[in-house]
Formats: sequence, C-alpha cells, structure tokens
Amino acid sequence: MVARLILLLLLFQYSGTAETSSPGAQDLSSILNKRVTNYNLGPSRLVEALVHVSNDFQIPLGIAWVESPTADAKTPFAWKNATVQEIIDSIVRTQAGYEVRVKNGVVQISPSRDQIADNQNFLKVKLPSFEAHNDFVEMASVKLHMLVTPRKYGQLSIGATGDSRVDLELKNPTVEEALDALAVASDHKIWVVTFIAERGLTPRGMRRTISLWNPKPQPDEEQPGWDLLRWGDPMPPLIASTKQQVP
Amino acid sequence: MSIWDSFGSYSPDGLNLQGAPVVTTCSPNQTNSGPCNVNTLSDGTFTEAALGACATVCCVGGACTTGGPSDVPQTWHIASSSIVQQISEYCEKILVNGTQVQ
Repeated sequence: MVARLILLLLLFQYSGTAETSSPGAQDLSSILNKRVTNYNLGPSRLVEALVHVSNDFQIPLGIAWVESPTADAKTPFAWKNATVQEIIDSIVRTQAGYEVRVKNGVVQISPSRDQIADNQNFLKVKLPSFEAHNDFVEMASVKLHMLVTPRKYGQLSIGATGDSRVDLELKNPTVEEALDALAVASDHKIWVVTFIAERGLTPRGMRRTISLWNPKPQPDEEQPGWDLLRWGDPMPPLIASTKQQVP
Repeated sequence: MSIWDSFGSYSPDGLNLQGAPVVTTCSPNQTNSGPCNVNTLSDGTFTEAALGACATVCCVGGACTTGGPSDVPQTWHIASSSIVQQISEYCEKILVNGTQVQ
C-alpha cells in the first residue's frame, strides 16, 4: 500500500492579524455607479489600467486574460464625467474578446470562449469543496492550488506576510468562485490569471498560465497558477509600464 | 521587503525526500525561486505559515512509524539578504536549527 503521511504542519505566528473589509454587493454597486469628473491613468496596459482602477476605487477584482501584443500595448486612458463602471467597461473594450461581470462581490474580467474554451479553462473546473479555517491567505491559496493540481509533495514551506487570515467553507465551487471568495475574505483583493497566447494544452487538457512575476511558464505538473495582489501593491513586472525594482 | 524560500539538497535523506515535489512560498509559479509579491510587514517580520513534509517511509502496513532524519538547508531570501536554517525532518517531528518548533 502506497500511503503518504503528513508529518507535521507547524504554524508560526510572528504577527497579529488585520481586519480587512470588502464592499458588500450594495456598496460595490454604489462604487461602480459613482460618477468621476476627471480621471487620468495616462498610457497604460490593459491589466495595469484595471489594477489601477481597483486600487483607486477599492474594487475587488478578478482578471483572467490572455497575454498578447495587443493586451500588452499601452493605451492613453483618461475620462471626464464617467461612472466607475463606464471606466472599467471602456478599458476592457480596448481589447476584443473580453467581458465584464459583477459576481460574488467581485468585478470579473473574463476572456470570451473563443479565446479560452470552457473545457480548457481551469477557472471553470468544479471542486467538491474548498475550505480554509483561519488560514493565512497565502496558505489558503496553496490549499486551493492543491485541489486544482493535486500532487504528492515531499517538502512544503509557505511564507506569508502574516496580516490576513481567511475562513471559508464553499461547497462545489468553481475555481473562479473560490478565488472570488479569497478576494472578498482577505486583503488580497485582486486575483489575476494570465493565460499564455500559445494554444497548446497541458497533459490535463488545460490552457497554460504564467505569473505576473515571472514570464516563464511553470512546469506542466505545477500548472495552472494565479497571482494575488493587495490594493496598493507594486505593479508586477509583467504589466508595469515602467520598470520597477522589486522591494 | 520581498520574501521567498528555497531548499537545498537532503543529506542524510532517511525519509527519501530528495527528488519529491517541493512546495515553497512562490509555488506554483516559481518553486524554489522568487520573489512573488509576498512581503514582510513594515517592521520586517513575516510569518512562516506552514512547514511540513510527506514521506512514504513514515507509514508501514498502514501504521505510523518513526524514521529520519532528512536534513536540508532552507534559505529565506529577504530583499537582498538571506538567512539559512537547517531543517531536520523525522516522521514524528521537525527540528529547525536543532530546535523543535511548535
């Protein structure tokens, strides 16, 4: 019998937790309907612009996009007398094949099925359940990844900033719904899935992803992946207009 | 300041962990590498949320047994600095620099 035994899972707490609030459905609607008289992002990339709007208006955001030269091109974004919803819509409309939805307390930007077929999109995969009990958000994200890509690991070590814990219990969620729940429950208010343009599939039949922090796709056995951002985090290298030093 | 961690080679490797998949702070995108937007708090502290291992040799005939150690250096990369600590893994415990942490 081949069995794996979890040896030990030690929890270290060097810091306290911080309260994080997320706008409720009503609040999110109010934010999206808010009219802005003058808003100028300057030349920005698609995802960069959306992350800026999320930061500036405190909007939980989920972005699934396909890296491409057009999505990587900078567009000069500026608005006068527009609602936040109109700002988001107009950013997304600069690229063909994306749609905007408000769901689960999160503004979601998703590629059309022409770009990523549902059966090749891991975000659409249904999980039996997803639970995190007083876990640091970084650990909860690892737990979710282990459900999406089960592996028998040998060694595990997870570092965390240590300022956001989550309590979640979801029955039969899609991966997308689980990421939405992480964004709502934690201080990591933005999730980003970056599909690579190349249409090849992993051995499990899914489109490959890369990280905003590393342009090289991870090995197939660790595919797919996502990035979590806090409001106000430095813009990751893959989407930043100007090169930044990683702190 | 950014943080990420990486593991070196096991020696000795009583739990046969060498070559088994590793999960680190920047997994899955950058296993054993980084950075990946995990940072210290403003006072420089950070949390090691989990440290553990799985080994088939710890289970014999469906029952837990003792075994080990597998010793491996773990490096924490904190901005441009690094801290190396020695992890000693047994079926029943993990020591960090010779001390059992709980």
